[in-house]
Amino acid sequence: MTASFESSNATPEPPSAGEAPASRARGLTKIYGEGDTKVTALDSVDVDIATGHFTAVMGPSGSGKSTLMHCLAGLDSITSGEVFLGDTALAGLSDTALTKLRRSQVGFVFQAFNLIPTLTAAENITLPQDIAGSKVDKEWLDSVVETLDLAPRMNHKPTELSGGQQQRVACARAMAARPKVIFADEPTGNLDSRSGAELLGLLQKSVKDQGQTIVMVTHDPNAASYADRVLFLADGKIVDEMSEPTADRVLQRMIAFETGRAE
Amino acid sequence: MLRATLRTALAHKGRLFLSALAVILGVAFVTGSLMLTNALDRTFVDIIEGSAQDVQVTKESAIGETAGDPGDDSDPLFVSQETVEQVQQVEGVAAAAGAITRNGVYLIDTDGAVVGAVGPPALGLNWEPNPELYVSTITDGRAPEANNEVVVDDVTFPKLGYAIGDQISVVTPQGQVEVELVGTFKFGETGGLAGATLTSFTTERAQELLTAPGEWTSVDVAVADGFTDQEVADNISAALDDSSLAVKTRAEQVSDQSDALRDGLAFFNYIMLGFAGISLFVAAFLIYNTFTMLVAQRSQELALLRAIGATRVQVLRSVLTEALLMGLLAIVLGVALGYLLALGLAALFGSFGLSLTAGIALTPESIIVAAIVGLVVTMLSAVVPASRASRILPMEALRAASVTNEGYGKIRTLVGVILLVVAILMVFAGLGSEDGGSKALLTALGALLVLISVVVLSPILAIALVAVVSPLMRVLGPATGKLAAKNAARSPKRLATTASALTIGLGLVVSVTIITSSAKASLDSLIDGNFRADYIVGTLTFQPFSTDIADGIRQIDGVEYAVSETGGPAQIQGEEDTITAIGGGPLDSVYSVGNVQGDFGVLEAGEAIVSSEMADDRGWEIGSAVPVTFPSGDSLGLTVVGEFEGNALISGFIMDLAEYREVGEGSQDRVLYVSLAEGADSDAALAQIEDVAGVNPLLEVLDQTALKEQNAQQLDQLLFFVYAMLALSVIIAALGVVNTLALSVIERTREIGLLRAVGATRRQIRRIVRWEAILVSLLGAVLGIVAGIGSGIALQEALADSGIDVLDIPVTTLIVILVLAILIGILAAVLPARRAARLNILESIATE
Repeated sequence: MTASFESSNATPEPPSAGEAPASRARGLTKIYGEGDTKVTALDSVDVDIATGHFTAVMGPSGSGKSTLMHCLAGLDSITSGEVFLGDTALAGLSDTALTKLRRSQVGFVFQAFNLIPTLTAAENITLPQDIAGSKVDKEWLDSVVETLDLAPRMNHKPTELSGGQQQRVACARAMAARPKVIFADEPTGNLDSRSGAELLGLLQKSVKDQGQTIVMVTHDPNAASYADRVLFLADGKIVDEMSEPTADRVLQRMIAFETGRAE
Repeated sequence: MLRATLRTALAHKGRLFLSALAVILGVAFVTGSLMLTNALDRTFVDIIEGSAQDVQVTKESAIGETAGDPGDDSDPLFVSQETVEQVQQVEGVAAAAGAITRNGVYLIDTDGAVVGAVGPPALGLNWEPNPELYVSTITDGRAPEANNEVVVDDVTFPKLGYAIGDQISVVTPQGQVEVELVGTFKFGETGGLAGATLTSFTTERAQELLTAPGEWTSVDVAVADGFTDQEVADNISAALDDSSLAVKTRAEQVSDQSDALRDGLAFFNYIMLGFAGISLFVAAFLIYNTFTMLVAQRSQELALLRAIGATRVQVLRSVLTEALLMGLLAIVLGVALGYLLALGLAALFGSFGLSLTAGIALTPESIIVAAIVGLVVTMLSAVVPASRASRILPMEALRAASVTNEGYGKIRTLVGVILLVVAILMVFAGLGSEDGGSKALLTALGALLVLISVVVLSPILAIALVAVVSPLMRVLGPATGKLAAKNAARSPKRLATTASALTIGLGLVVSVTIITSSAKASLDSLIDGNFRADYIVGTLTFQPFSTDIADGIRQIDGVEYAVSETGGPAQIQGEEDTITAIGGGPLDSVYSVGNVQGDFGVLEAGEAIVSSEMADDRGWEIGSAVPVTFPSGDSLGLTVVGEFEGNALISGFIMDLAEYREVGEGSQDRVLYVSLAEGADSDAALAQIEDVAGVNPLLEVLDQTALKEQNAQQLDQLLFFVYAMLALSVIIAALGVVNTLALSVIERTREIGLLRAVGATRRQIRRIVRWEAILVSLLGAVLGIVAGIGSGIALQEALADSGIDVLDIPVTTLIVILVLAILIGILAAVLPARRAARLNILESIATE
């Protein structure tokens, strides 16, 4: 898989509905603990993440949305079921194989503390390629930096950047390797609303213009409204989904869950 | 507050233990050495007490030297039979008899080897038939009755391999004798003499072999009932009325001999305390580092404590309490380890033949000293980090933790530069100094200060090193190298402090290596340039040997000269000094010296040859008359007939051997130089020389090459010892590297998690940690080696007058040291690297 990635330096393709999913899971179950302390975080989840789309995963705290993301990304082991990244089954891969797959096919954006403090923005962005020892696609990198409006900040250290800028550097790092899919875990959680909106707009733009595939975990209906599609998770199951979401509709749906659960 | 402190201490127990380990080793060496020297002391005092007489009369040296002590190789002074008879008449004397004790009587075992050749004294005694004067009792067989019979002490007996009734060989000052072993005896009340070998002859034979007919080494006196030792001693002094005879009571004998013994043991104590000093010195760095990091890591926690109302003093106390706990733990474990160390060393001594009959005991003295030392080192090292902790503001609890790049410390750098300048000035002042003693001392202090100033300067040097090495690191590992270099540069002070322990250890190793290898090179060049003889005959320990050997060698075909050398204490024109007596051939046949003025050939009676240094010092020139007084009290007037430039083989005041022997000194030879006639068959001659010398198993015959090898071996032994000492500091330094890396991994848990998430493999994480370790050890090694080379060269310069006049920098050894240091770094990284690589990605990222 690594090899096929490294040789595919073609220009971005427009999103096409007919393409194979970037990531998918079948019967994905994740159980923590044993006996009395047993917690089923994911309960036989089936999901397809469409290539070239912006997918949001929503749900209340403890619904399993972060666990789903970690399992899809190969950061966490699964109890049963199957997870695929493109065509590659993640189950059974060694730690090193998983790591290598991750660095070539997956990008990450975390809620906070996303950057290595000793490295400049530019060095942080190309860190995965540096680690992999692979070449940086300069043209692609420039377009990512351009899209995220980071060009004047490339030589700054993380401490010299605002929270929003830091998070944009983290996004650029996730995109730089042109991964199959980018996982973002509450990327706006630590940002003020203006910086958050700006970041989400840029993510949306990169999906539209550059054909990125992004999966974003959030509990903020406003953030979810930037996605093409929203998956709703509750008690470890996908309970609903919504296309072309707006903040209001997402909020209504969430409220419906809460009241539904209360009944 | 105390509970919080205890909790924290327990939470960091692994780290604290690692730092404590250095203190433990230091404390262990302090206690171990104190307990061991205490045991040695008690053992010897027991022996001395067991073997002391009520009153003893000995001949005192006329020049203040106490000749005739056991272990002294120069000729003993004798007491005459007349004195013995005088003493017997004194009031209060129950019994008095002449006694003989003399060093240099070796027993040959069944394999033909000398029992206890190098080490404890080998004494010959006379068997005293009067039970009132016994210090020894027969344990097996019987006392010697005939002149060809001997008894040996029962500690030596099993090592001999012979049975009672066997014929055995004994090497005496009069040559080797064959005697019958008729029994074993127990010396004094404790048995052996801490490993000394004792051979007892009949009185007649002892006088023949060890003194002379009618001559004794002492008069032993038993005091009659109703008299005190002191009364009888006073009576004897009055009766003898001879100031050259010393009359000592039991108490005086014990205190005199114990004092002499303690002086001898002091050397051993210094070595052990040297070990302790180095490990405690390095331990201080380690503790300082650990607490600095613990405080930095817990700054938010401490700030929170401040925010909820803890005072500064409470925070200070909290950190110091933690240090106290660590110190106490270190002391308890250190004392225990020290006890084991002392037991181990005592066993080692036993295997060398020095049995510590008094046993190792946990003395209150050793425990108190160890406790004080351990606590002081720990608390002092923790004070700075603790006061830093107390200055943390409550506001910092609310601030997001951010890793900022700390500087290299401008003030610290300034202090370092000033220290370095002072150090270099001291070295130059030392080298320029005229006086030999202050020259070496000032230079050595300067060299030590160079080492310390390098340690003070090390943060800025760390930055420089990282700058120099990081391009190479990036080539070897583009991502890992860069990350490691940047991490190292992030806290140059920490990097530097961690490396300091290595710097100190390696700096000392390197300067000692340079001095030793220069000494070796200097000796080689000395032998090449100044040693004209074909063979040297002597014992490894400069034990004197019978003149029969020289006489035998002179008979050999092809031997031109066999020049004998001996010597001893003498008073030369009013000053106590050492005299060398040479005879048997012209000086220039075996020695090669520079700048000869006057004569440097055959010495005649009444003549002396002096090194120019001594002559200048004492204001003599050729023709000067110099009065010389010998220990016996005899005096001679000698005339200086020649001057020469002294070297390590020959220097000082030289007189004619025959004349020296006429005044009753130097009955044995100390060393023989043999030169062959031109065209002689050297192989045949050597075989015959070895044949003659073979009579005394202690003797070795060496040519120039073998002599160089032997010198090299002896220096290597010394070096091995120093290396063992310094290896300890390097091991502790490695512990420091482990500690720093482990803490740095914990500090950067989240970063490591992030690196793993974005695709760093476990192997790459390990590599980053390893790179950092290599940087630390490289810094320590480079600084240590550079400072060590500088100090080594300066010290060699300073010692040039003392014989180390050739500088030799052993490049291969230095490279080996550098490589070893890097290997130590890599080894030290193993555990922290593994820990870093095993971190769970998700948990790490979630770490606050």
